[in-house]
Amino acid sequence: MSENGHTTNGAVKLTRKDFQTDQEVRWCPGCGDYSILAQVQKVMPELGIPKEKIVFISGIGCASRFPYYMNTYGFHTIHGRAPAFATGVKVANPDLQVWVITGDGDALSIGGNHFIHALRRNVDLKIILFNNRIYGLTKGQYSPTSELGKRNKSAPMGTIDYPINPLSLAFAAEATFVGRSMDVDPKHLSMMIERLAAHKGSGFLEVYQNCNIFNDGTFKNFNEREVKEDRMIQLEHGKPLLFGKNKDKGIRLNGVTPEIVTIGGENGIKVDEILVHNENAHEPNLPYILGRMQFPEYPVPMGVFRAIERPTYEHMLAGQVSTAIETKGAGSLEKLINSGETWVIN
Amino acid sequence: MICPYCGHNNLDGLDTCEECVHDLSLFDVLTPTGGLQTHLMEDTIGHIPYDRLVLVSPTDSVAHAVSRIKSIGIGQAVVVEEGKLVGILTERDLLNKVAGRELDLKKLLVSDVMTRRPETIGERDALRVIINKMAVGEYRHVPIVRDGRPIGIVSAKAVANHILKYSGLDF
Amino acid sequence: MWISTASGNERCFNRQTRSLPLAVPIRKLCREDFTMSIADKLSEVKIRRLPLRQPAMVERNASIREAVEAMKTRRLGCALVCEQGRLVGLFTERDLLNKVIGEPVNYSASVEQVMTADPAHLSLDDSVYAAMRLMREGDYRNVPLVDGQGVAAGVVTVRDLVSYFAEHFPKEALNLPPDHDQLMRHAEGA
Repeated sequence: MSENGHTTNGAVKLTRKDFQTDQEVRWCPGCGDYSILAQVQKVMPELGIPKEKIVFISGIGCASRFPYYMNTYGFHTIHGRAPAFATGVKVANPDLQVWVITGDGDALSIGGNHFIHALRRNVDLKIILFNNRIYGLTKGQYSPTSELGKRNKSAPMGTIDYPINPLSLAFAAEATFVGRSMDVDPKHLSMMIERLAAHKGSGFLEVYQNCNIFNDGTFKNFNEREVKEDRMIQLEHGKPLLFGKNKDKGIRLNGVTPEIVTIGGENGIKVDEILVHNENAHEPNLPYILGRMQFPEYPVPMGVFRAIERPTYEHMLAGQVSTAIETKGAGSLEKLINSGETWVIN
Repeated sequence: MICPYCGHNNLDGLDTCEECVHDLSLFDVLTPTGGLQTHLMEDTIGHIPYDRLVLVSPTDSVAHAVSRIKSIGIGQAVVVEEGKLVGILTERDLLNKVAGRELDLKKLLVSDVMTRRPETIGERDALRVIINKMAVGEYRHVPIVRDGRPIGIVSAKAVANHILKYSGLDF
Repeated sequence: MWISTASGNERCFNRQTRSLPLAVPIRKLCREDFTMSIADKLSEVKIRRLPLRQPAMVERNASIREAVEAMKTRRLGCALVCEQGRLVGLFTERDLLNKVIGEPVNYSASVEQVMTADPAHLSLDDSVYAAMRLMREGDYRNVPLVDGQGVAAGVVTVRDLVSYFAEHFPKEALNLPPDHDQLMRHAEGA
């Protein structure tokens, strides 16, 4: 390291403070979004990418206030349309690293359609979905991920909607990277953000985030520190799916249904019989099954469910454009507009 | 939430109670109810012993800074310019940037090795802010500043001992 | 002022006073479950339940340079010095500062010369309280861990303990703005 904090190749080494802005951070005291902001700001300097090459794009919601608090380029766009803007930004500027920050209302309600197609096209976007199971900014209506029967302002007798599982939707939309983390585990969250940043292709990370004003403790049953080891399972590529304080419980497939078994015990179940996680499987069948596991019947899985590589949309588009130019010439937009039948109105 | 005035079970986050119309918004703000939570939110740095400060300037040599740190028996120095904090030089900086390399410590300047613009806290910040800086920011030493001037350093060890004091265990 | 409630009754409230007429437990704010039994928690929870990092381990005849590189790679403040897997010493950043930097010691010298031999240690099954106590009594930041046979099994650092506490109080300690001056005083909403 030479003088003034410059690295040997002359670039200035960024710190977390470089990514902080002077904007008043307008989230409620105790909101889980602060934890996610802190981890993103912590990971950004380590990526080694200059600030002007990073873009944060959001829609509408509490989560969507994120770009104001990151000292990078950003867009605060309209409700649900962040993936559409992000696709445009990435295709026009393939050298930028584009992040999409969205929430369960923004991405799965009004933005469901854009969400599916951005993931399907495998545009190199990093989508982080802050799932708090409520509409927070509009003060407490139920969202597409709210539990059945939950009482809130727009469902005083309890919701009658069946909730959607964002991971299942991401698998159906052919996302090439699917992960899940939570705001109360900062180390795991920063690891997941790093993995998402390194992935080339459509990346989706669902983050369980606590809204302490309108939906407090919605994940507390399984993600509180004391019960976490027994009620959650950490996914690691190539390792068996074990959980529990003593790592003595595992997941085994009975046909296509997962079942919880105890290692040893009266049935003499061995570790070899436990399901081994594979992030790189071509088809998302097993990750889909894992994504459907919910508390209290099963431990809730966290980590990277799927990470595969495929040619990205902008790469293939750039290839087609350059082939077209080689074979047919660069073309002129003015000529195209003025071709065919045109007339002048006096 | 249960209204503390009339006991009615309201929906989460309502501004006024449905039954008695009392203002509920002030209960949305985190207030401690006892035990360690109170200490986390109300104890300030004054409750925790500060570490001694060694002040050096960015143009001092690393050899000088190291000998001063060693003579006091601590592990870090705070770098000031015209009295204002500009950086911190810790054992971790020495590990990452000096150890294992053939460098002349008398020629190497503190400004080459220090961590610039470190995280700082104010005297009136609560214990929870310090814990946040250490747990989330992954720092072990956080300088305390008043108007940009360092007045002490809090170490993770001091914080851990302070928490243990309120754990109720025989110590 | 008199208010007519949904049940048809009338109630009188004094909006000036903030005192609570009923002693109703406030569900949202009550954290007694952890704070009151923190003594039990610390004594019961074993060190192996903390998310410990992979330790940096070197042989006793390894050079100081190798120990330093191992610490840098793992981003840890200490290296466990072992002989055939058994813990024989600990080399920390403090040893690096006091015994190597600015001293007439070559980085090719063996780490055995500058390590703390036979360091205080605990096992993975000892309690978190035991770790905190040992750190306080010995003024240590890093405590090596061994198994029943004296084989080095890991290290617990003071930062692991602070993180452990922070995770029990996510709303109070984890969910804070980047700059403490930016702390909001009331709930937001549109």
